[in-house]
Amino acid sequence: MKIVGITACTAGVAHTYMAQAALVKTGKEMGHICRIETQGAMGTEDELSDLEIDQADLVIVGADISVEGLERFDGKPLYKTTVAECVSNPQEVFVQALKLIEEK
Amino acid sequence: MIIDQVLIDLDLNAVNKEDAILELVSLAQADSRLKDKERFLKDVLSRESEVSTALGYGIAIPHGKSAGVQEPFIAFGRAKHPIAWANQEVNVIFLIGVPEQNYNNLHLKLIADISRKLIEEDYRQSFQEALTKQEIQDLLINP
Repeated sequence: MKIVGITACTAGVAHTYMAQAALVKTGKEMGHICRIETQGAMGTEDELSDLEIDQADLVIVGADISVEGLERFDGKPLYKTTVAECVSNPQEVFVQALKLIEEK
Repeated sequence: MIIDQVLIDLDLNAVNKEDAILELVSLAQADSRLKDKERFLKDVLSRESEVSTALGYGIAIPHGKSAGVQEPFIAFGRAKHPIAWANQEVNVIFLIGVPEQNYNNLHLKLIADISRKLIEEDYRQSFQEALTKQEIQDLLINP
């Protein structure tokens, strides 16, 4: 499965990046190709390309604040959760997110 | 340098969350990293009350992007006794302070790299096992 996503926390200093790393690592372990953009105190990093978004089967947004550019994912199944959940329970985030596809 | 050995305490005496944060804030104050200690302390504690920064694995990373910060810093503390932190027990604490404005992206990048790396068990474990301040400093400078 190709999965893209965004993480963004309140301060944009630490959890945003921890959540990114947790999702990428867990996604890989579960056999997915995972690319996560961060919107933090340094601005947008690891920005998703149009191609990556176009090819994605699923979108995961782990955010405690409003994120920019959600319209890029119009028409894609999108699972929205918190940053804390991505950091502490990344497996569960994938399980729940993948249900969006199974339900289709 | 964002991390200095004077910002590291391997024997925190604190027995609760507030005292642990206060001990580390005092290290930052003594190293001239703060322009308003009370303001920073308030910002960190209010952040902490919104969302606990305990990550599991005995680690917490209280932090504040605060007008009370003069120079960005990471202070590190390892507590002698486990500390109740929200619904977890914590003994390793990273206190991160970043000024509200005019901060240096290089510092933010290092903090981001450390944060990403904390997902890895080996890296986390190294902070539990380190014997010297130098080891801690090295872990933080080269995440």
